[in-house]
Amino acid sequence: MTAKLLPYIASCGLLLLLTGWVWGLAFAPEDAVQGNSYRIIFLHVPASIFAQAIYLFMSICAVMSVVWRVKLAAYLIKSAASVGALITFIALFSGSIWGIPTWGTWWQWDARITSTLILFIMYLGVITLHGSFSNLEKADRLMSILVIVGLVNIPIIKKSVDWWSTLHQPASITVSGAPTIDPSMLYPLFVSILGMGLVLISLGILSSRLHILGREKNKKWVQSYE
Amino acid sequence: MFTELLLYCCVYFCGSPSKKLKNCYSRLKMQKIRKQRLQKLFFIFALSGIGVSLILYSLNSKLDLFYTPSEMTAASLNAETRIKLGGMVKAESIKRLGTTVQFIVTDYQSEVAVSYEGITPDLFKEESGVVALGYFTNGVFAADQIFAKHDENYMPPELKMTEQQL
Amino acid sequence: MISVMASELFKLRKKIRAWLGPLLIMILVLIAFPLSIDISQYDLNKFYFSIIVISLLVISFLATETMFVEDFEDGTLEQIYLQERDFYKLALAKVLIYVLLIGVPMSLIGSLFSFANGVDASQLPQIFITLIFSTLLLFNLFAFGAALSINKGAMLGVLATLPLALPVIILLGRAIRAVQFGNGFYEIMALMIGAGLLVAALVPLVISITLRTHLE
Repeated sequence: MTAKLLPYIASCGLLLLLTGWVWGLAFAPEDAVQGNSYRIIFLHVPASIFAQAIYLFMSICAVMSVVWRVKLAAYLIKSAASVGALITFIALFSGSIWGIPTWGTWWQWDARITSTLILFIMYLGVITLHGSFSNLEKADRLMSILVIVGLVNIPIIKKSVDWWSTLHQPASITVSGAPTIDPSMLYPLFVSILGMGLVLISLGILSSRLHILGREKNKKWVQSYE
Repeated sequence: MFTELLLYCCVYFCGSPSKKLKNCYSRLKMQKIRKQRLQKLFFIFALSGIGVSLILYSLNSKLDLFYTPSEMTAASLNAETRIKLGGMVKAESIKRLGTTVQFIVTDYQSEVAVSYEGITPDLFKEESGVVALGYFTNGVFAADQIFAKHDENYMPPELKMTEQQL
Repeated sequence: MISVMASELFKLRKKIRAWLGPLLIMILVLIAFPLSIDISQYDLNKFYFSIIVISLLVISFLATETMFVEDFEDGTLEQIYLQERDFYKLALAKVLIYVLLIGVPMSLIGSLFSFANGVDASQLPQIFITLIFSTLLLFNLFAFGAALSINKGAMLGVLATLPLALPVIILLGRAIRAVQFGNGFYEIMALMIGAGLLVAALVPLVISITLRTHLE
């Protein structure tokens, strides 16, 4: 089923992402305080949103895998972890590039940045943990336990900018209250978020296809493929 | 303890257990298991309850000693405690004498004069947010660290100018 | 419960290498650090505490590395599984005994060495309490890592749990700063004690799930 949808999702995603970026980079006005260097927001914000969202998705799959022993959930965790690691790295990298003109430093040990680094290491740890056990069912359960235990990091990332005053600014788009970002910059941001989401979903589908085929090698439906 | 005694009596008195005694035995064992599970659950909940309430207490109290200028003038502060002062830099209040910078932090209700030795970050200018860490002595806040905050408002310059005109 | 703790105490006291080793390494590290830098050039007071914190981290990991391996290999875990089907008491007892037998001396050594930081004697009890509760937190987390990687070596456990230990280090640093600057100590101690109790109550549950997974 996903085979039919994948070209559409991928192309839609790429198109939206490109639209968002061109709109943001070329047509949105420059910021009053930061000048033109704020435009990296169109890469940084979608990347960080999805870095956390992918971890939440992984934790839901982990709960399904541990409690109800759903095998598909376990395969999805592994494939989502690779996508998540990539996008967290992009978030950290783009964040530090943004930091140079605005804060004067490309790294600062404040709570949100450090917690995102911790998130990145957790992604890598999940992949490593799974890869080092030969009994794959045991590996699945252990990986799920680790993902659930690591869930405590996400509220730290989200709330750290509210709890104590850090260098990183608080959220501009909140569920309650009007957004503090001007509409002419808000729309390209939304478009970029949507576009990046679709691109990541297509990447995840590709990666999970690989994992599912690999794990179910001995089943009849795979062998009848060829 | 009592249930254990009963269990042993059950096992002792029936060499070949009849159905009634077997039921008695298994029921007592279930009670013992249930009691143990209850104890464990109670222990976990008690400990986590104390833990969570302590955490909530500490999060509600002033963990960070972050004061705005009005709070600072209202509170009576020890000159040896290192505190954080946060607010906006007042317009046209930055004065540089050599390596010392003097400015006024305001929250539009009261003001505190700050003096700082060192290089100020790029984003530090008037009418923008600042956090200063230091000691409050003799009516002047002697800061030894300054952070310029970039706030979350993104606005094109034309709108900002219209806002100022308003 | 008392019997479980007594048996764990007995087991640990026999393995002298397991509890004496980490303490000696900690003393060595804390002595070696000032020797390795040029004291006249740096103001040691400013970052000696970081060395205490880092050595706490590394030694907690070393101390809990082989917590469950021997029980796993000689069949004790299977026996307990047959009797009680749950490892909560075992995990709780083990962690508590390790904290009492290794963590408390570590905190003592750390607070004594903090004299080198120009801390006066009235602040020592505060530092001691801070260090004890952070060893409680760290031992719990690293015990979880040790349970994850019972027979696959230690690097796996580190990679899996070090990210979770970093917030504890941040908390410990803030507590030490609160002690140094003399304010806000009780609030942050409330945070640390609360987190310590919460973790000490919940992590044995997770450890027992992990150990049960290993036994299947």
